[in-house]
Amino acid sequence: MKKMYAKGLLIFLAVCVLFGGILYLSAIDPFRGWITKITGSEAYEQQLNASHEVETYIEKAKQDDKTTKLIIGDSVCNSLFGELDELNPDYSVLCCNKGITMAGQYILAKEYLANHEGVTDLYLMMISNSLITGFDTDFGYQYAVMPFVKTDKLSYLDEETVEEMKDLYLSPFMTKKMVCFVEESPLMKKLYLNVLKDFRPTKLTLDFPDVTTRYLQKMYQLCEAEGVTMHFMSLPLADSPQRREVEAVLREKYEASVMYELFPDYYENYIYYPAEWFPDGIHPNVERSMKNEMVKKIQEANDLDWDLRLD
Amino acid sequence: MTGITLSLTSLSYFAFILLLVPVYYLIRRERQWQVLLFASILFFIIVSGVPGIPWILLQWIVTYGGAHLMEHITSERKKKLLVTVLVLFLLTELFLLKYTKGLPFVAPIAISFYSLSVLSYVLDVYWGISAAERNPFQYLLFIGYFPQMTSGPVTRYREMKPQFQTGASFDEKLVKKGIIRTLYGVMKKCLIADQAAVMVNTIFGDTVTYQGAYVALGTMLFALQLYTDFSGCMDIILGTSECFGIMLPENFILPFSSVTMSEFWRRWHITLGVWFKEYLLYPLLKSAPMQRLNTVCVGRFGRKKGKKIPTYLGLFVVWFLIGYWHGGALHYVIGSGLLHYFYIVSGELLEPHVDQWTKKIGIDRTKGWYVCLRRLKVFLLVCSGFVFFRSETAYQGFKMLYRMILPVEGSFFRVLHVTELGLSVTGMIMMLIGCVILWSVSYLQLKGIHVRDRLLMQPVLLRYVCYVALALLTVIAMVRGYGNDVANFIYNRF
Repeated sequence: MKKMYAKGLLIFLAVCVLFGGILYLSAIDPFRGWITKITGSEAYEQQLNASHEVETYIEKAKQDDKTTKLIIGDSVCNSLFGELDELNPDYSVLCCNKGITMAGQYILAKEYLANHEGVTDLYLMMISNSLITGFDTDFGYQYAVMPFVKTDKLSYLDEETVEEMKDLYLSPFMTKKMVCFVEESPLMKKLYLNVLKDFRPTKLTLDFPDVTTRYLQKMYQLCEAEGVTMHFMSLPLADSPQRREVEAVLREKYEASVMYELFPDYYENYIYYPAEWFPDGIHPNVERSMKNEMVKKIQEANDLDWDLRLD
Repeated sequence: MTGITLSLTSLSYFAFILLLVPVYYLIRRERQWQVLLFASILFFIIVSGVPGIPWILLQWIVTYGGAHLMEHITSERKKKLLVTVLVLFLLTELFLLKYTKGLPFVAPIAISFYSLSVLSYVLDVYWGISAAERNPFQYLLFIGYFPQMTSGPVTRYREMKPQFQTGASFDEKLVKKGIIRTLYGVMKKCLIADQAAVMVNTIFGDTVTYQGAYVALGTMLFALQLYTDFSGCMDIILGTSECFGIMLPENFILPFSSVTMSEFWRRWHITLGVWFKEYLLYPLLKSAPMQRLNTVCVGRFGRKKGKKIPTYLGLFVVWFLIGYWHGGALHYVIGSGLLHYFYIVSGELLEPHVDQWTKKIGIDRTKGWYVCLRRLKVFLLVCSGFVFFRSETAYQGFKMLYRMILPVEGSFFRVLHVTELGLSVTGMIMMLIGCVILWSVSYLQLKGIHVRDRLLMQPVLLRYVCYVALALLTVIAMVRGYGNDVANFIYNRF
């Protein structure tokens, strides 16, 4: 039996070496293309944009574009305010995706404040769905780890957060070299992300993770130290019984958290719209004029002195 | 808690086997079954979850105790009563857990398979074919032996008991053969079934757009998918079991080489067919009401014709239940049951006439082209059943059959846009490579050449190159399917 195991080990090593070679070549042109096809990893090639999207926002936050007001938030925020960026020279709109977590929003805020003078306001707008998103194995690696590591922004986060990320995503996959390799190789990305999902599946709970409360607090303290007024607001929601039920549970939890002490009005100003305006249940898919009405409603509900140009 | 799964094509399953095999052979032969029992319990908990445990334990305790009691009862009437109670208990549990919707119970994995094995044990003890097992834990291993825990095959206690009892010495050749078969099964599943599934799902998922040759193509691809999925699954199960020196019964022997529908069912899902024949058809035909019917029919229609009536009636019951066993829905009853019954019975009735006609016009039925034609006929008939098997409802099945005869974009001779069916060109090439390997191995098997035995006789270098190539191809095939919805085995749900 020993002899057979030795032979088996030999074959196993040979296969490992060969597969390792394939993995290595999968990040190099011209092999990348056909290895991606053979291993059915095409979908992971298209996911490259997730990390680039966040990197672009971080880069934009760095540039001193003479704006004095910052709007950050999730993808719902982006669908309402994203198009307004070019119309408003005083505002910088860096709404991203819930996958970057509150820690990512903090990085954007910190980077913006460090590179802009005379900043007066910071508007953070998110729906509660985004608030309950912490580091997970669905979006976390592409939206948080990859851009944070590539732009050297892990240093902006506290040790506890970095440890939490290392524990979930594994230390070797949080080095720049490995992140670049995962980005370059769709095969590697497919294997890594699926192994992560298999071994640490994301469990959705109606609770706010530590990363949300901790970094909201940090952002508040940062703004206070810089003399910037921070506004934390909700966004339009689809009016459905399920949504209202979820919000009732979350509101109770919010009011028991430290976030409520800082921003007691967050749940006061929730605005519901007909569910059919939200085909995916989350993002409003309506005419720009209707979106502008939604923006105005947010302004009214939060009593803001916005001078946003809407068209 | 991690999300570890032990799907038969997952790396965790292979790691599980790799760790288990040396432990198994390091233990004394008479104690090896204990290793398998421990592994099976672990496997069951991981795959089926804790809610399934009480049900399998209930079956184990009731049938173990019932079989013992049956041996001690001398009164034939009481024995009969007890076996009826046990059979009813097993059928009720199966029916409630598997076929009754809306109940707050979780059916343990593979309950349809192991319930049949347990039923066979109870009936064998009743008929005196097997003695009741003294060791309750060895009996538990029979119910929950892990390789067959997901999709069968349906085993009988008399086949398994001696193997569990004696254990096995390490046999390098057998372990190697087991590994090769396992890898071959993974390749069939990942390289062929999973690729075909993409196109099949596209066609059957859109019953408005696709018609005519598209539906025909989808049906034939589903036949390929189902065969490679299920037989691939069996190769993994039988191959894994071979690694422990435990031989499980074959479930597939080149079914598409059959020239009649009856032959097809002697080659496809063999253990299920054998079970229904031995434990339902024969007892049914031997039962008093059927014997009476036989006498009446022979008296009225003559010996030859009269004898067939009770047989066909018995076959009707068997095929109805085979169809029902697959999922308790009408489309299964039609697609996996009654349609096949119709084909088999009409085939048997027509056979003498066909024989006469072919002789009249001078056709030699043993000629290659005629055999091929008969194989094609069986394939097409089987496909018509698969239309129902794949459909969500019987109505959809009929609709798909109707849509199959409609023209594509107004013409019966239009080039099909197969690349628009969701599978990439690379996927199709991979599937073709898999099909060529499958066809070659099947062809050689048909000629009596067993590839695994031949491979083991080759020179060392060639052999190792083949091992590495097979392993690498399997790994690539597994990676291709990794993270896809199509990666689950079709028969796991039964």
